[in-house]
Amino acid sequence: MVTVRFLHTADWQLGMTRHFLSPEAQARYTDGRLAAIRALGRVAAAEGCEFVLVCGDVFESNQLSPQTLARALDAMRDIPVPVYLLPGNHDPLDAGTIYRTAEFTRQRPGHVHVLDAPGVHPIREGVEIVAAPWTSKRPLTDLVAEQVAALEPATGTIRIVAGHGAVDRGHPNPNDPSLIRIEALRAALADGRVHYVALGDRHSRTDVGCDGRVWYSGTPEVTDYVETEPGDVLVVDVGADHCQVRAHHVGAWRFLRREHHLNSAEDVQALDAELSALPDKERTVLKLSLVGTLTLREKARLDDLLARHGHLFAALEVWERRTDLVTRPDDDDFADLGLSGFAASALEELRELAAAPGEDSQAAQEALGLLYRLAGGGR
Amino acid sequence: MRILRIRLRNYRGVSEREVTFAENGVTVVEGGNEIGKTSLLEAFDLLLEFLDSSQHERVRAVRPTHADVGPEVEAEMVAGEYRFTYRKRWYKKPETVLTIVSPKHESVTGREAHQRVEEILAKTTDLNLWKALRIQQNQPLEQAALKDSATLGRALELAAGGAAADPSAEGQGVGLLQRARAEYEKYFTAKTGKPTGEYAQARRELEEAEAGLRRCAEELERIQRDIEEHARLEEELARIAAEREEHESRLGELEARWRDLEALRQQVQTLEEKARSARLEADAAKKAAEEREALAADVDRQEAELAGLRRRLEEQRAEAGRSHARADEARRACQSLRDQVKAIDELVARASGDVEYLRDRDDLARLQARRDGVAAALRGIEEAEGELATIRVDAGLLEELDAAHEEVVRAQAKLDAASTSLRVEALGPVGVEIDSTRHDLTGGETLERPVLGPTEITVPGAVRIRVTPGVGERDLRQALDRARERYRTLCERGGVADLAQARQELERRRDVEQRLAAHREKLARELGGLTVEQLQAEHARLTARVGEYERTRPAHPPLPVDLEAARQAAGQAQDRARELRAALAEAEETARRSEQAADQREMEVRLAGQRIHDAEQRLDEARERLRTARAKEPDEELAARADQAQVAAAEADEEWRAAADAFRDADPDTVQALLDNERELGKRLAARISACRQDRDKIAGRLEEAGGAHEALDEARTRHAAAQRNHDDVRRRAEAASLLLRTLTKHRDEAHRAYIGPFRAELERLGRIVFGPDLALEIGDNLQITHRTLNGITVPFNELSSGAREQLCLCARLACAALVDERDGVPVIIDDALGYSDPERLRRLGAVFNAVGRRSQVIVLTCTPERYRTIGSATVVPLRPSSAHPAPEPDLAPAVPPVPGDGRARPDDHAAEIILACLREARTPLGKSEILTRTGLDPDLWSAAIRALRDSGKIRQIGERRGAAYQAIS
Repeated sequence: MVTVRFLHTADWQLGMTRHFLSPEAQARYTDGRLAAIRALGRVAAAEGCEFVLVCGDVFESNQLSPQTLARALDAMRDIPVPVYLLPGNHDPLDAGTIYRTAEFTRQRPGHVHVLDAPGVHPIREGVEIVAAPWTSKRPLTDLVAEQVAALEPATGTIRIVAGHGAVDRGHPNPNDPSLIRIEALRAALADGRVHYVALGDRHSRTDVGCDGRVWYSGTPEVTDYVETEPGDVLVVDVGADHCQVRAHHVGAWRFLRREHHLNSAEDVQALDAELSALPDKERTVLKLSLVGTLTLREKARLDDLLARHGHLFAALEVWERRTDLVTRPDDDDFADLGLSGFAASALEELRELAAAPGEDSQAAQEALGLLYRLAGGGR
Repeated sequence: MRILRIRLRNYRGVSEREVTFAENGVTVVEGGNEIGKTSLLEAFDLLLEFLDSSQHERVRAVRPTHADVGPEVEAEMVAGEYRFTYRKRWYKKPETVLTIVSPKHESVTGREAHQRVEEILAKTTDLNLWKALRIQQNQPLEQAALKDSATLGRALELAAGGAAADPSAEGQGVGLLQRARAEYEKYFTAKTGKPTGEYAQARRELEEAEAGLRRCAEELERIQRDIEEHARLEEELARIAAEREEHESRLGELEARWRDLEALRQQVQTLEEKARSARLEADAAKKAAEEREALAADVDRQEAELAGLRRRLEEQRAEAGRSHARADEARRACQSLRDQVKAIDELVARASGDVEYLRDRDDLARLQARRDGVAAALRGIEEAEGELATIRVDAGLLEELDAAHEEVVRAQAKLDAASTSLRVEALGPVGVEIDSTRHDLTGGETLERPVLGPTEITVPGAVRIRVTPGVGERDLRQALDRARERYRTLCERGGVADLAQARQELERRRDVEQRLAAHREKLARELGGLTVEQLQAEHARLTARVGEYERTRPAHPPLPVDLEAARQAAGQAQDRARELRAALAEAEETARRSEQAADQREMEVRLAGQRIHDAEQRLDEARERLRTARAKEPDEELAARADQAQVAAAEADEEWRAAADAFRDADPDTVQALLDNERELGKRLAARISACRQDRDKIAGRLEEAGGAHEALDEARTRHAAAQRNHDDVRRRAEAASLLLRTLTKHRDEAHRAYIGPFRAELERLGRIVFGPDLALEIGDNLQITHRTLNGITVPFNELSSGAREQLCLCARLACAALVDERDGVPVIIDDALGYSDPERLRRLGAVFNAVGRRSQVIVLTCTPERYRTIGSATVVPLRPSSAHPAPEPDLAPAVPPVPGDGRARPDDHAAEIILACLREARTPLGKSEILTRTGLDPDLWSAAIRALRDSGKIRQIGERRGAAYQAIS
């Protein structure tokens, strides 16, 4: 009875940059993504996988610098088993494809193969990959279904489909002709034409259903806040009558989103403590949404702590869209400063302006902060 | 602050000088130019400003010129509750000494002392006001910048009814405003409010990042377009390849059809060639037969023609004979007429000779008569000329003679008139000798004569009288002699005796001359323009001619009877000769014509002979040709050959036409058009394929080189995001700064507007002293005067005269001084202003100074003391040139200023007594002005005196400040 064990991964997105990262953090993040590839190579070796199948979006784009490409190929060279790369929507086999550039063909390690022809690719006796590569950014058909439909039922051969793209179930635009139709897959699995469908495109690890034979592996290293369970690869054991999928974590980075309510000095204090407690800050990207009302004194403290932690995290963003933080000076703020005369009346006007709803409120709060500072507050 | 005393040592050219100022009221420091008035204030500034270790050029500039010692300045001052002496020396033995005497005694030195003074001044003195109230020499007198003075603001606020604010609040507000402005100017330009510095930088960076982002996005888009275009081109190539396959099969088929058609066309061409040769052959045979017929006909025609020519020649010969006969006859007629003409010509000549002869004969007769006339005239002339030669008188001579005669008469008359005359009257008979001539006279007889020369009269025996005429008489006599001589000479010349005879001679001369003229006239008439010789010659010639003709003429015919008859005969002969000549001309013409006609006929005969000869030759040739041709091919054979060739040509033509029809029916044009089209299509497809491939390869080449564009875009996005974050952050701060500054400025201005009322009231109070009670002023937000209204006329400040502006500026400063609290006040320092003010105004300004001086310290430095003479209460300090000798080393112990109540008699002790007496007398509380009015006290002495009284508990104060009144405590 034929059976095969291989490593299913996808969406390496090599060459990706994140605009909220500083150049230094970006460099480390890029290194992190390459490290994830080497890590999955070690997983493949440890688990005895016969090969690594990368289901699309190996590269962020076809238009990458020679340096990025060279480093990516170098990381793949360290994978001790054959590697099969499927062109996806980010790196389609169009005229600009990276897979046919001189740099790629010259530096490609011998055990790295590009699934650059649709259809059946025999891997070894009894094992075939059915590839559905993308040839353009906008295919007009379900590429996977096309390949699957052309097959006869296999006997004594394990067929693994390598596909890329969104599935029709739960898709916001189900009439998109390029969606992978699950029913077609289900039918092909049912009549033994194929035995496992390895998909790429979703960066979150996902079991699509179909008796656990259709999976998105997710990206091996996180790329966005919205991803669920990123950073994994799948070790797949598949035979005609069984299929087992196990996830292994290889990613080292985290993208976090947090909301905090700040209404008192204690809240600010608590935020400080929470941020301090987060581990691996240099590999953590944090996006905060802050809601509440603070006095000038507290706001100054908050600005201070954000600046302090900003140096530690890979990135610390305040999510403007989700932030509704009002600065409202209380009597204590200015009492010590003892403003009087026209300065006092100007302060009063700014306070009113800051308290009133309207566009000027934010500017007035800032102006109050400035007044506070110029008048010697916070010293 | 008050300056009580300033002392300079070794300061510039001044070795030592001390000036004491009145604590309240006006101190006028007088002194000439360069005496060092301004140095006083400068020294005070240096004292406050520079450490004793300072090397500042302003300090360096005041080093003494006369000695190698350090400049030294000492000031005694009151500031708030502090009263102190402060001294500094720079360069040599630098030193700072501060001695505070109240509120508690304190001595500090060095840097600490400097800091302590700064501290005291910062606490007690409004330095902005201090600067604003100074009027510097050499600087235009401008309105004071009062706006930033906290002290003034506070005073005004108080005056405006505001609550008494914390003294430091206003200063704090002003400082805050300055800091807010500084903050604003970090982001915006001060003047135009344009973004600058960090903000401008952030905007620029954002714009650059946007541009970069746009560039990268465009680049990536271009690559994307290339990729799509590449795909499109591949599709296009596939489509064209399919088209080309179809095209090639169509082309093969058409080419086969075209080859068949080519063979057919070849055949048609051969047949056409054949038909054309047969036709040529038939045409040639037919032509030969026709030529043969023509040749035979030609021989016949020529024979007939020759016969005709021969007949015509005979006729022409007969005609020529007739013409010759006619010519001979004509020639004979001519000869006869010529003979007749000769005869008549002789007759005409004879008749002419006769006429000539007869005329000559008549002429000769007339000439004979003229010759006789001439001879007679010549004789007359000779005779007259002979007579004329005898007459010597002419008109000129007569005239001269006449004049000479008259001269004689005139000379005679003159002499007669002038000469001595002698009259001898005999008284009885007496003999008298006169010049030896004896005259015997009877009684009563007289003898008279002129005395022409010395005359002797003798009465013999009695007397001898000698008379001698005078010299004049002699001259006259000589003149008479001369006249007579001339008259006699002229008579002699004329051959006459006297004038009368001369006249007769002249008469005779005229007669003779007339006669001569008549003869000459006759001679001329007879000659008729000829000379006598010519006349003779003509006569001889005619005589000869007449003789000759008579000798030669034949007797027959007889000479006509007269000239008329001769002329008639000659005329008749000439007429006849003319007639004959006309007839001869006619006959000659006829003869000439006849000869010509004969010649013509002769020529015609010769020509006809030639023609006949030519015709004979041609005929012979034609006959020869015909014979030769017939020998070669007899006429019958030729005709048969022509018929056969005609038939063969018609057959070949038929065959060709049939083949050509068959070719046309195969529609070669259509096939060719289709084939051409297909071939063009082939070329076009090839071109399209080539173009597509070229485009595709070009794109492929571009894509080959397009690596990295996506990453570049990502980087640009990152940069843009960072720039955007930074920009938003800076903008937020910038807007906050802007809002804060706006708000603070607004409130400051509002506060100032509230001050304007009291400020204006005080200013107007002082101004009215100068300008009169109608004065009204308008004050701007910045506490500066904008308009002055006087007697209902409003004028903007800047349009006022220099004098008025100066006076108002001064009033404004004095108003400030008057408004601020006595404790807070600073000296008003005026370094020689009021150069524009007239004496009346100066007098009034004096009153203003006086009014203010009661509460404030005013220091006036002037080199023209008269400007300030009118200040009633002024303390005058004259400055004299400093001694040039260096001052002795000062005592290192600080000078201790006098302290009130130290037991020394002071002027205000006396003032206090006067005030106290006044109050005791009044029994009711009195205000300051009332007290001063009643006592006539110097207002300068007021403050110290009233303080002393109050402190000693001798009087009680009711109310505060200006509303204060005082009452004696009994």
